[in-house]
Amino acid sequence: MYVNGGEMENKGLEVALHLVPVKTADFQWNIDVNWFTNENTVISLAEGVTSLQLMSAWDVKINAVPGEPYGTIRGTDYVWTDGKKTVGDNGYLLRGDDPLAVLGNVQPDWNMGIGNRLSWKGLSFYALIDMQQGGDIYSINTKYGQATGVYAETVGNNPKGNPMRDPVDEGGGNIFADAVFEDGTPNDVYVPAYRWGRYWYYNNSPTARYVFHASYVKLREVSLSYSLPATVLGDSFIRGVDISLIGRNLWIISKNVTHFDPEVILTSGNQQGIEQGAYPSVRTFGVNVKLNF
Amino acid sequence: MKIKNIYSLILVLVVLVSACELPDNRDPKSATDVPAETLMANAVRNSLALIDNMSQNTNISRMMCQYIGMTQYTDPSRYVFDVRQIPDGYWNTSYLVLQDLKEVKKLIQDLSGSDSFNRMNANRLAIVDILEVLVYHNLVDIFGNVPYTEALGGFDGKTPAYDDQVAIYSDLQARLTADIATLAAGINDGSWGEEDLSFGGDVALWKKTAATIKARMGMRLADVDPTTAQAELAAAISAGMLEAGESFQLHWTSVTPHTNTIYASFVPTARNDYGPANTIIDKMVTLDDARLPAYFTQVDTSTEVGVEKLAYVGIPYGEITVAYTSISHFSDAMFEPNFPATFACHAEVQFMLAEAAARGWTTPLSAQEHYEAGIQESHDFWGVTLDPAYLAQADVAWDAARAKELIGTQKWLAQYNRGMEGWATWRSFDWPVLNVPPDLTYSDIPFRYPYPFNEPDLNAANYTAASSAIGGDDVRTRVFWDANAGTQTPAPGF
Repeated sequence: MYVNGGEMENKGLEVALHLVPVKTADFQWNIDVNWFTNENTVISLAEGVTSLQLMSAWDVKINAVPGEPYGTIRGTDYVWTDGKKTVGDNGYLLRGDDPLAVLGNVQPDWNMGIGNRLSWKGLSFYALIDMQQGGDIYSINTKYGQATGVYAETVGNNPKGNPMRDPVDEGGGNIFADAVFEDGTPNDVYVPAYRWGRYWYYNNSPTARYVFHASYVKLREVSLSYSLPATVLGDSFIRGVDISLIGRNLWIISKNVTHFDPEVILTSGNQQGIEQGAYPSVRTFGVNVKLNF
Repeated sequence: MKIKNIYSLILVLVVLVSACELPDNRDPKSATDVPAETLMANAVRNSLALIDNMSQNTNISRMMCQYIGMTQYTDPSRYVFDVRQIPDGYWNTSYLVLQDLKEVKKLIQDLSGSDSFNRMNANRLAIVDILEVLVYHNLVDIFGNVPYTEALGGFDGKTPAYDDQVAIYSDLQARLTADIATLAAGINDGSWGEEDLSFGGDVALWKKTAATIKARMGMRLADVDPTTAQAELAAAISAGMLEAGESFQLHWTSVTPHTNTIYASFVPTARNDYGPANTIIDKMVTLDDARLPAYFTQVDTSTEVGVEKLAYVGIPYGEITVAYTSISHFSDAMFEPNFPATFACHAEVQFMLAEAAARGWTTPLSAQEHYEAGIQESHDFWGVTLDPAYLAQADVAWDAARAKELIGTQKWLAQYNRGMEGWATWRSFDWPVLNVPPDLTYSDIPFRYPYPFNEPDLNAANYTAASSAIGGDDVRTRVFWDANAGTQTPAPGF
């Protein structure tokens, strides 16, 4: 049996700009800017269905809900008191009562690509910068990496300047420093951070602790090409030689997440918005030699 | 020909048809018909495997009654349900299995032939029904109210209402009564063949199993509805329950994936996430219980090189992490891939009768006789000899004033490796006193699973109604038959 899962609407806008700021006989500078945005709304779901689960893993869900963009990330939120994260008397983060609080959405606000090409005689230099603004991602690696103490932030000094893995009564432990108690007074309770089940432990935390902005700025591609002038080739049977050096994914210039590339995906299907055990994205270098006959 | 200044405008109209229905709305590549026998084998295997399952993602009943603990990822043993969505795992598989059982019924219910064929076919249906009852009573025992009358509605029933747990239990009892009558009428007419992986279609054994489950469900009501409990037990006694040496089991094979859950959880994956808990081991060591080597291995606790000092050591229950090499393991026999899973047995029958007798109800023998027969049967079942001295020691010897403590403890010991019944025993009797995981309190120990975490998302209105009907979707809400306080200092007698 197959039924229509639902209906959704996409409204998008794409703007492309092609500039040639400098152009002389031997030299040319091209700028290509491409910007696009898409607004997605789930209009309706199959009859009797109020929420379609695209994915449910651990304590996070990715949903399609009418009236919201496809791919809302849901789970427990922090408890907010006067705009601040709230801890219990024991110093651990409190979790909101609603297990389906909307914590973000996998869809970005906009994307942009900026390509620059500098050409001087047969030599050409190209650089492409890609960026994404908005979109959220839930990171299971962060959750488990912190809980098991493999990430750098789980060791080192606490705000008192003492090793956080020392016992609390010896000045160690860690503190949710910017949080407040339920009555609004600043949190001053240090909690142990030396092992599983403590400061870095997901079960002492709302789902929201592992939801991050997926925005990024990347140096996607740099290439240098050289075309041998026709005079060098003379009357030989080769009519053209182009040599290029190409590097891709060279540098994540800016991102909001610590332990992974925000562009990683769990699967290529509907289940976007979750990072789990992804391999690091690959940086590639290539040499391209093109002969024309 | 030379063409200049060609401007081409290519307009690509992409019409996205987001869901096109196939003409007959059927998958042309997959099988759409299945023989009842094949589906039956699958349904028997999956329904029983679920109840026996020990995965931290699906069924943590062995942890709820502290037969086992966890070595590394100890959240489930510390009653953290949401991270692994344990209730969702159990619930989803239950209803999948129930759908299979329903399909089996659908395939055979309209068959008709000679009188003896009809009785045979009725036996088949009754056996499927008993399995459905088993799956549902476990669902109620775990959650309380669950979808029952509106369950399995397919596309037309995407959001089933939850039924009242008392009404479900009552209906299940009525179904067992009918099944027992059907099997009695067709006792010589046969039923399923080898696709019945428990009894190979033995009608008499299915009838005894149905009666045993009937008594079990009846005795669950002992505190809240003693009249019904007595009537159900009397009906089960008169129908005839599993006798000495008889048990309702799933006979696993040596071929993955059809292997027992302990083998499956450890061997093919080379993991060691689980181990026996100190709660049961310490109790048995104190009692010098002859079943210890049948249940567990020993571990070398010596700190001197070249000196071996073997002992039974359980996981300190709920401790954050424990080295697998420092604890006792399940016995070698339990690691065999074809080690059978048990769902009802004669020892359970004896302990039910002991409880009934201790409550002053009519039973074939005295409370003490049933109690001691239960202990004897459990030893026989595990192939060990019962030393009379075991029965004579202070914490085992029959004492009517301590009936609840003694029966509860011995029933719990006898049902080792049967998490669902062990957990139900603890909830019914409040015995044994469990261990408190570090940083938790006795009142953190759950009485039920929370509802699946997907239910508020996918079936919100019915979820909310059910939660409020049972007194809140909390692990400390009791299912209807659990009337005791669940304190750390339970009463020793009924």
